[in-house]
Amino acid sequence: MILDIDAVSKTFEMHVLDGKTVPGLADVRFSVDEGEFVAIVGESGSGKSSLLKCIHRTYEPTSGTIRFRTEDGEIDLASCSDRDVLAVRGSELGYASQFLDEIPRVPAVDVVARPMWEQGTDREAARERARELLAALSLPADLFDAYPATFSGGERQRVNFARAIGPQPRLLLLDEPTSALDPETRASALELLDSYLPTSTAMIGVFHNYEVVRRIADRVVVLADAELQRVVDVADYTPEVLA
Amino acid sequence: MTDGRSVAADAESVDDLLEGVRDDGLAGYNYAYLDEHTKREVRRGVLKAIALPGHQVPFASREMPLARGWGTGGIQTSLSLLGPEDTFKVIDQGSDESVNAANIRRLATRTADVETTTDATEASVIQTRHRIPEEVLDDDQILVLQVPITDPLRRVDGSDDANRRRHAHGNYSKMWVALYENVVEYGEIKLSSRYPVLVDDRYLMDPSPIPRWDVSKLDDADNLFLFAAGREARMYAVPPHTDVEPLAFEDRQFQVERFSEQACAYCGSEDTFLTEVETDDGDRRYACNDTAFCEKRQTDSELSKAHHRGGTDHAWGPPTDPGVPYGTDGDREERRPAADASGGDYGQSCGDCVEHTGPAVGDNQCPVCDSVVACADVDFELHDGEVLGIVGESGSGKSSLAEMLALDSDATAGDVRYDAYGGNMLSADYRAQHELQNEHIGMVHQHVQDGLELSFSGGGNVAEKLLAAGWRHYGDIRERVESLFRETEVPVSRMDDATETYSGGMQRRVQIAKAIANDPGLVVLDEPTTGLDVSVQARVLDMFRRLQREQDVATVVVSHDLDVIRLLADRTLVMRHGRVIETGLTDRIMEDPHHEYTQTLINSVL
Repeated sequence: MILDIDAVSKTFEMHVLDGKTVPGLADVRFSVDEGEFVAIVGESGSGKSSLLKCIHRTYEPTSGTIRFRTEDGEIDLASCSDRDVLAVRGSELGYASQFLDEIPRVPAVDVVARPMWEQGTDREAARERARELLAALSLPADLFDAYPATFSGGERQRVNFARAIGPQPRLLLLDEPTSALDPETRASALELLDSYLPTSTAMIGVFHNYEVVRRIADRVVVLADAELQRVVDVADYTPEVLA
Repeated sequence: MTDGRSVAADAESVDDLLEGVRDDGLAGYNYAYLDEHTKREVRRGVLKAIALPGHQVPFASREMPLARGWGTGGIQTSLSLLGPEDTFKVIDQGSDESVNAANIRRLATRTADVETTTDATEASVIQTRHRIPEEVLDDDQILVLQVPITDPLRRVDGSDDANRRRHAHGNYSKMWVALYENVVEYGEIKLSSRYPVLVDDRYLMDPSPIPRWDVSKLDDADNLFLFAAGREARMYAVPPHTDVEPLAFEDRQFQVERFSEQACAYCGSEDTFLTEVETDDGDRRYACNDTAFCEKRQTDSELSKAHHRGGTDHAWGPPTDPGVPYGTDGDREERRPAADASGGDYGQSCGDCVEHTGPAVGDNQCPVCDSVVACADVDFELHDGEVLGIVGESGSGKSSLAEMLALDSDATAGDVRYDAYGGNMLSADYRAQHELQNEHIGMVHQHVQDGLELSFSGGGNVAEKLLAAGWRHYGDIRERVESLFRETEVPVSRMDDATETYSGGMQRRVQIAKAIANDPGLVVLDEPTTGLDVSVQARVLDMFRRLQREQDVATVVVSHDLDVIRLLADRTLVMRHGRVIETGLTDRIMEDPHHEYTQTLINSVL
């Protein structure tokens, strides 16, 4: 087991609304093994992204524990210090968001290479690997040195995807990283997860597409109204809410 | 007030004159030190000044045998007035005993053969610096005030030429605007000294650095006030029974200093101007500033300030009941925008700060010690290679914090422990702080002129850091500067051009080159992208992030721009009213802000 989520809840206190609290997640519990892919499904607003953000500590869980087995021992991502979180982000814990957020006017290849060289990879080696990843995602080569701000939504998402998987984290969180991709590119992206990442890589992904879930997930976590409905093997999963 | 001639009334020559006073210890000097022409010139000035109350009259101020700022104007005036029958008192900030007061008194005794006294009621001429005695002065007394700055308008405009025109036209609107701004900031007019007064409804006058407590004594007084500035060669006067009105708004009246619940530790007075003194064992106590009157009160605690005039009927200074504020401002609470309840209280520089300052009373300035609290109770740790962001709106204390970390300004209290120094670097001595600044801390200032000498070459600016750290080999310095220019992407070909010819983005990069020149362990960036155009901002951020990661330097980034913080900082402090209200991972602060103010701040991004 690499990750064990126990009784995690998240409520938001909205001061703009006179301190009204909004539930984000309530009493979620499941665990993830090494090499396993867990898909999270549910309607919009059911708490899928909130769950990923709680694991990444972009949201601070209100209660519960998120035990993450790192190479240096176990930490509770829900309560450990900010510095411990920073230490595991990147090499151990990766996160691919839906949208690319980067310093403007940095060429695509450097956007992808940056997390790798910040992890200690040699600069040129990191660039080389970035080019390979972008090529595998069929980003036109003449865009490698252009600024992603001018890219289409799909092109940006490919840069974002390549950046997230670049450092080969042991646990990768994917928040609809292929939503803007055409079926062919999406297939190469999923292919890349298999070929580029070590088989021991654990992944938790939010996907809206049933075909994707069926293809890559081992188990499925179903959320509704911020609450965990069930955790099932992908073979037993029927997509009642998926389009 | 007799003049020198009475000493040798029948003198035929200067030699005779000197002969007549030889026994008085005046060998080689004219009576009262100054030559007669100088005295005449000073007296002409005095007469003109009396004729035009409050108007600054130029006079031919002489060189005096003491440093400027030690009362050269006051001494010339006093010595021009004194005769052998006079009794002279000298006060320096309330005390007769300071070195300066004692020396001026001795000069007058030796050269003008006058009696001296410390009793304000006995003296015919009193020279003073920064105070008017507590005891009421009479119509046979002259108070000579030493003046460092003659023109009250210099507070609002540095041009004497423009200010003279304003005086001629009676146009004091700019001073009024300054007072208005003061009220906006503090709720009342809080100029601590040199309070501007309108004399005889005509001239705006600087009453010299007397406290507000003394300003009302100028109005309709029995005595003559003379103000003289030797350095500026100007004098002015307030003749007896002249109207002197401190500038104030109808609904924001002039206020004197308040010492609520405090009494003099020596004589118990509550109706005198008190000074806070720190004893050897660190206690703070209040004591009368006017030491001569304090001594009298110690023998007779009931002694009236007008005891020598037979009663208390004469108005002089603020009301004697310290509980009654001078003037009223009954509607103050309603007019002021509601105090912000979300911040903490302020203050730690005097015992009363915490109680009397803070958003709860709508003020971040202590009414007792006048200190403004820029930031307070800030705690954080920073590790090697970590980037800490500090966000908050302007005035929240971000830059003050940055300046203290860079040792550019002193902290009132607290510790900053820095590995390279070993102890609390805030209390390091000057030499150690200097070394820390030169070799261990790099600062990138918000305003380029604070960080770079624009008339020097770009290379020279960076070299300055190396030279300060002891580099003395020209070739090595050039080589190092060139490599820093390459790292910060400033064209090496421009390194010998004056920095003022560089673009804004290049200047910022030169500042960064300078900041990292000695491989510091800590770099402080104050608004690193402000004032740069958007495309340049991105280049600077990207370059800095690369350097920061490569060199593993601990960094503090201060910015009001959330994007800058988001792209650079690992962790972030949110500041408001000088306090840290929230701290956390940068993405957590941006996406899951907890504090009410942080939520507002994040939601305000365009």
